[in-house]
Amino acid sequence: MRTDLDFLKNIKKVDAPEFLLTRIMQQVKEQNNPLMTKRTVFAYGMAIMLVFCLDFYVLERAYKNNGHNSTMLQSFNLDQENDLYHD
Amino acid sequence: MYFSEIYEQHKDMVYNLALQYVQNREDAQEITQDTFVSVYNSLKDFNHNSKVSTWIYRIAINKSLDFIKARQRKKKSWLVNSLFLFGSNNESFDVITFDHPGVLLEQKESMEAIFRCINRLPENQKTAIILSKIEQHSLSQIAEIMNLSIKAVESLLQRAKANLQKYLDETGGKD
Repeated sequence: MRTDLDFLKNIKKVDAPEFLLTRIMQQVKEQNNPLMTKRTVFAYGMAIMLVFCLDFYVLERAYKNNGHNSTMLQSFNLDQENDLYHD
Repeated sequence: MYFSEIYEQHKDMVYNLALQYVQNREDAQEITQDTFVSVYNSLKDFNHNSKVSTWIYRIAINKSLDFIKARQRKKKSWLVNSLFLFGSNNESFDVITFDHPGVLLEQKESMEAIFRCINRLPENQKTAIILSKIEQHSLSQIAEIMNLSIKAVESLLQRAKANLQKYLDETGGKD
């Protein structure tokens, strides 16, 4: 087995594959027109935040209203349970 | 200067250089692609202080070294995972195969042994050996590409040769 460095001179030069230019131009194109721009990502993020805030608001309001309802029911001397049949 | 013109003039040079670093067709194609994307992006910033070929050479060398570093990081993380996650799929890590189209079949075994030793060299020594022994550049050309003095390149090559000889003696020219 040859192990001297001059042996490396035997390495032949090869041609680059033809399809590389297409791949390079495709990558450049994708770079210039990314699928998700920063603005799009920001807009989506804000929309999700808004939905979460609305959720919290609605839940909190429902919880508060629940307390108000029970006071009203008590004042009318009504039962809060929905049991029609007492077995 | 148009990109397509630059590409046509330098594509083989970049592809062959990448092949000397990674000794694998697919990896060399990826490096060539990354190199020319960088060339395309920074073409407008290119100041003509150096030759276009020298500039592209530098980009290709950096891309090749970055690619190797990324591969080594991947290998390290795979090793950590395989130590802590028993029964994980060990075959998920891609074993790099010697697939150099410029090497003749009858010389493949010897070349593979030499390249295994070259791959153990520090980055700058490896670059110096590739540019000198495979790409057949002169000392002044290597100095220009590596942005070093001729004296520095000479000493780099001397150290690289000494290290290579040591590695080759260790392996005895065998796997």
